[in-house]
Amino acid sequence: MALRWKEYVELADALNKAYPDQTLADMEDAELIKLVKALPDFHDDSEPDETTLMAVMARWISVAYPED
Amino acid sequence: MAEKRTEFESLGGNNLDGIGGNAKKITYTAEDGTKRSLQIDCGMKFSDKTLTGVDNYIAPLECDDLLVTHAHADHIAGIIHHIQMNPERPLNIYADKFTHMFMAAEMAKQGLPLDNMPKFHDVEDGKKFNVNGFEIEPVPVTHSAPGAIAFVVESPDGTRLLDMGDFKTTPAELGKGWDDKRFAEVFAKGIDVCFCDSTSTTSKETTPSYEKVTKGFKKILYDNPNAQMMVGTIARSAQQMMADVIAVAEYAKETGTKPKTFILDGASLVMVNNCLNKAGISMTKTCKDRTGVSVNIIDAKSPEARNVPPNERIYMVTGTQGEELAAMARTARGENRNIKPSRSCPNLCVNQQAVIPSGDNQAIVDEMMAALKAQGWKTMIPERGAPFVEGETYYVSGHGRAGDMEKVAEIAAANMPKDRQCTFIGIHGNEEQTKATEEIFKAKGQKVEHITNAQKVEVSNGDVKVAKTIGRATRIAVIDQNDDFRDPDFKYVKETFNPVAKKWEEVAEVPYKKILDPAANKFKGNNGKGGRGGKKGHRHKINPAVMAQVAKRSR
Ligand SMILES: [Zn+2]
Repeated sequence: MALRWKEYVELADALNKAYPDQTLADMEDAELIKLVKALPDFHDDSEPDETTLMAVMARWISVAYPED
Repeated sequence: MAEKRTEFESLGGNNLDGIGGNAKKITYTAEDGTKRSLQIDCGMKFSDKTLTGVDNYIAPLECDDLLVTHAHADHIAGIIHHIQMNPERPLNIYADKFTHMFMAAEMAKQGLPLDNMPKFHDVEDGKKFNVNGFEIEPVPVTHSAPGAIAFVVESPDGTRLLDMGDFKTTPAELGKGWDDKRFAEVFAKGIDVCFCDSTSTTSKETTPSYEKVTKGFKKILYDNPNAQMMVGTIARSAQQMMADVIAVAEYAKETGTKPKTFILDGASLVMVNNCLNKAGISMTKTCKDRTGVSVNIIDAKSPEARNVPPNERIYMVTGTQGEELAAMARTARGENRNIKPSRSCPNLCVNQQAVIPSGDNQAIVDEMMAALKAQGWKTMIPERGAPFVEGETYYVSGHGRAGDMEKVAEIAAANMPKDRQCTFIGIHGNEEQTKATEEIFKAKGQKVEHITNAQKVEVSNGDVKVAKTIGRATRIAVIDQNDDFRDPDFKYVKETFNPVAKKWEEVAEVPYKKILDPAANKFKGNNGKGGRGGKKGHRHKINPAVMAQVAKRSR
């Protein structure tokens, strides 16, 4: 299934699988966009706004730290 | 022709039974009778489910335009539930950038679809904006949460109300905070009614500043120069964490040693650090600008964390009140893969938050600290209400005390126009607390009034009147029928407060649409493989047998 910005929950899961050792505490938007665009299943030409980027980031962080 | 007027109503927060569920509504009625309103905050009030059967209560959300003062649950946690109850409503939220980022992150954490996210509008000090005919001026204040804001709301007829939000009157460490001059300006323009945070106004003196935390924390570093540290904190109350970071930088400078590294363990802390960076108030940059020292802040899972020598590590963790799934309790149970006591250096655990006196919190935190001690951690925890000791105290509150209110009264008195006296009203507290606030202003020669929830304050032609009759306050009981935050099955019940009988009465169940993405919870705990129930805020005593085992393993 093609990943898009809108399905940020699936997108975050894919990011966590692809980059398990990534430092997340200080990741900047530009870096996040680069990593998302490098995912083989990602196909979306739309521009994410900052709320969307925060949503992807927050989901990724909560998948990476599942306990807390 | 009706008389034009501006009304303020505390929808929640001026409770008879304790703090929480803060929400305020401002309504302007024009001469032709048309009304326009906006709301400030929509918070949650915690409930002891074992006594009430209710997880928590949320304030009503009566307007589509919402100003948010700061990122604490008692001001924002109602919002996502209201979105579930009415996903189509066009909700506009006006908040500081950090608060915006934090709210978006929290909503995403719970799986709120992007289409249902509110529209966020970032507000900034000095930039007035217009909402529904009201002119709004955000004014920064200092609170434990960064980005805390007070709002001046000016009605079309020129009535000016000031909601101070949660505040104290000493400087912030992170971002903009309290500034006497800024409030002198605000009062000089005339304020008809000022609403003040009453949380701590029954306490004397002024709440100590975050600078004092830096001093106290630095003393801990001097006393334990070679220790691996674990520090318990509240993630979204990042002002205190910032004070710790500055302490580390100053200690390194004073001793000529390498600064210790902050290692954030847990989603909330990693997320807050990320939100701070996005809001332009990075802790590392703030520290570098202030002290000239670079302090590393990394996450516990990054490979870099493993390369930091134990005696250079300061793990920041959540779970100061012994919350079962938070990093501190998991470390106490020997279940935290990221944090173990070191064998090569002393281990020190600083719980940087006093026990909140509620339920059996004290016993639970005592057990957790004892379990850590049994593993070889030296432990420290501040005593609630202990007097402030310069250079020793390492925890301060974000709420102003009597001395802070006196300062507000003095600034107001010195600056307000002679022909426009301000009336002060206590909010964010129970009767005793709000009355204490009003007594402080009265003693300073100021006009005061007193309200409870659903008791309107009306301003017309500069006259301030409190309604004699009290309406019915409303709240929504939130009940998770699964009793499992990983897979909540919410039931919402509307209740109203009968001011004569002084009790809450059930009105009706509120239907809602399940819009949170269930996939958002599948990775929670045990990677979704089931196992122990997951009540995030849940606390229980650590079984002594488990404690003994953990201690044995660690020796
Ligand atoms: Zn509050």
